[in-house]
Amino acid sequence: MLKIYAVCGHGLGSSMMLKINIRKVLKEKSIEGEVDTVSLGESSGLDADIFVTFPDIVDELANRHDREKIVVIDDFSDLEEVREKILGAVDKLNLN
Amino acid sequence: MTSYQSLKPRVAQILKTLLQSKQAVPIKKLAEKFDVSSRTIRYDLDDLEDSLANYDVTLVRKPHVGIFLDSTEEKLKEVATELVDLHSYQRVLSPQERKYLILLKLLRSDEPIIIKQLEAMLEVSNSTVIKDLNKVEAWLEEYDLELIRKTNYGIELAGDEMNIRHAMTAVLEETADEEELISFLSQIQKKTLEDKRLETGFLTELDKLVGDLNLAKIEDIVAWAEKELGFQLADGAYAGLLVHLGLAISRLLAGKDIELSEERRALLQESPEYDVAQEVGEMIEEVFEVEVPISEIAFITLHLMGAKLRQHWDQAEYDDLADTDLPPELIMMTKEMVEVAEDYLDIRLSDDEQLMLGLALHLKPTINRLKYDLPLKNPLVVDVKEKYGEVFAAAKRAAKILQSELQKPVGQDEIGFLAMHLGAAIERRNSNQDFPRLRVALVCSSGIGTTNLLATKLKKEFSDIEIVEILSAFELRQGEVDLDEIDLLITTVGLEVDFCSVLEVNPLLSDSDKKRIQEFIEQKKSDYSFDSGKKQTTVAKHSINLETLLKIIERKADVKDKIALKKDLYDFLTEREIDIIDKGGNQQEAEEVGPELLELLTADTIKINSEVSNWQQAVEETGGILLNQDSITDNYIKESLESINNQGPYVVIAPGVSLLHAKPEAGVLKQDMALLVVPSGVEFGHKNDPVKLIFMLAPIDKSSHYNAMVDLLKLIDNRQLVDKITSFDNPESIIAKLKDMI
Repeated sequence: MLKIYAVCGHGLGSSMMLKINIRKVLKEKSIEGEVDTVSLGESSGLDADIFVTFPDIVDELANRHDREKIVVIDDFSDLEEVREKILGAVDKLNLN
Repeated sequence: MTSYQSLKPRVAQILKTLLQSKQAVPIKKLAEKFDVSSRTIRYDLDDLEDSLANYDVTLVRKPHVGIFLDSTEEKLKEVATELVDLHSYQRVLSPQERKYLILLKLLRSDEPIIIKQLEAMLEVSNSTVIKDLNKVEAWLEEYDLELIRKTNYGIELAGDEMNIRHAMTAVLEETADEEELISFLSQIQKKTLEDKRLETGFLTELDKLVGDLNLAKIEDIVAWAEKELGFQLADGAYAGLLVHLGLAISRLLAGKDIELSEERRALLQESPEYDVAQEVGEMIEEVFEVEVPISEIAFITLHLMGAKLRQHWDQAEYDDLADTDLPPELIMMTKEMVEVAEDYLDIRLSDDEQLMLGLALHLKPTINRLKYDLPLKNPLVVDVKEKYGEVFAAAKRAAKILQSELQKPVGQDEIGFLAMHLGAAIERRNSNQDFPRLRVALVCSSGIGTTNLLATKLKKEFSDIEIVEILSAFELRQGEVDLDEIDLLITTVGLEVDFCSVLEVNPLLSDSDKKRIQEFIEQKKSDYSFDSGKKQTTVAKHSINLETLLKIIERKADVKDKIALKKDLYDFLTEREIDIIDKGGNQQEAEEVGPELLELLTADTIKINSEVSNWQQAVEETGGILLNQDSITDNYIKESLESINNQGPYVVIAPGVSLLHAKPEAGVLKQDMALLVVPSGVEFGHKNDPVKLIFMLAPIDKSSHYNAMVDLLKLIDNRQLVDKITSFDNPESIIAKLKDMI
């Protein structure tokens, strides 16, 4: 099953809201997947198909995970942006 | 022949079973049938063997095959008439059975009966007969019939012919259940009545009751009427009509006809069924050479109207029926009744189209039955009450609408039918839609409610079967149905079918029925190597909406900490494998039952302050609110500041909005949220400056604030949020506005 982590500094606030919108998008398209929140620090030991995060910490995240797997969202409240980027990443996964 | 008197009742029954079976019967089967051990059956067989010796009949016990009787056809017939019939009454009759036998004798006798005759028939003492007669008298009173007892004359019945007919039907219905009637009728169907070895007991009484009439001819008439009416009768209704006509004809032949008031007759003449009844009457006149008076025709009309409509369950037929048949008043009444049941059961049912239509179709003849005092027995009413007590109670309330509409009492039997419709809908609601695999045809004798209840129960219990056909026993026998594609016939009536696997079940599906069906499925699965790797989906049997549960608790208790209670309830219930669902019926994760934004954010945790000059001050000011509430410690504020210092101003989550927080372990004492409104704005060093709404979250763990965040997301989605909230000058108005926006 598709596994996605929403990553932010604490893995609590922004990542939670990001997770909510990612779930919304997956549900819309009936894509089965698990979305969880995680802090930057905790993300080190974890693996997933996609890591979603924000511009401020993307560089730090890229030190820990494959850049190919990282999706950067500027505004998590912008459902349109989340939809476009998440579905793009899912499509890319399906192609591989 | 005195030696035969010693044949025990069960031994006689075993003999009968062997006589009727065309193949060898395994001992195990006999043991099951009579509910005794195999060893007991072996002893019984020893007894039987002795008795049979006198007839040149050999009892053969073939290992691994079973028991059968070996002799000539002629000898077997002899055994049947002498041994079985002889023993039909050779057991002690129960008081109940004695009552019915006396009633039957009274109902069909033209002359007074002497008590001595009854003593001989029942093999009891004079004083017992007198006691029985008291019971008979009480029973007859219910039908407005009088029992006349005169010394030196005997006893006889007095009363209206209509009531006598009602009583006759009632005795038959109370003694022979629907299934017995069906199997009796199917013997007629098979034209085997000439050498009939009827079930001894009450059905022979029916036979005597209708005298020497040719039932097959009556059946032709009923079949014709069925065609004329344009719908198929349920087997029960079919049997009922057949019995009614049989009784009517024999009574007419005896010169006894009924009286119906002019008023009632006129009412009946208006109905479309009257035309059919008239033609039925003409056919009877022709076939049986007896005059059928107008009142009798009206009475037949009543029966036709009361007949239950048999129903298949596919959508197309529903649509047809919905289009044509149902008057709007009937739909209205159905709706009202379902709503009453919904309220009582707290389950949504009115969106179940199958229920609405099925119930409406059921109510149509029900109304007729009630209007014209034509009661219909419900053989399952006791079972329904016991297994679906709550549903029965709901049906009882719903029936009050019917009652007040018609100004007629609605009896337990009719309430039972309503309950069956409601029960079926509830079963449907609870059932999961999986992909069925085994093709099953359902054979039923009873009407809509039973069939439907059984079908949905089967679907719910077994995800591996698909019900492809619902048939009546008659349809099946007439061979009109193509059963090539069918894996299994599940029936509520006894069937003799050898071209297909058959399981006979109780209409309410007992536990042993379920076991047998499960075994059959398992067998089939291994036979055809169904992809056994696939796991069977299990349905959670119970689900609860926490809000509803909390409302009940709060009605009787003062809850100190609702949020904590909700969390504890969630854990408690899920541990016991009870699903927690939201109002839409979707299963909820632990995080999804957390508090909503406005359960955390209150007028006490909102502050408006324009005297804030930088973001550090804003963080301290907002943290101060939560500090005052004893929700966080000083350290939490400190760490919130540090986190911005270290990671940058990503706390600004939307234009003019920021969400501050640190980790729970930094010093959260209680889950909470605060809002600082700064109408003049604060610079955070972010492109979305100036920030005017500063939220602070005190999270207790990683996920309990899920719902609150869902709400917050909804709020910031509204681009006017900042302007609107900053226009208020008190926390209460802000709360009201937020409530409005979520």
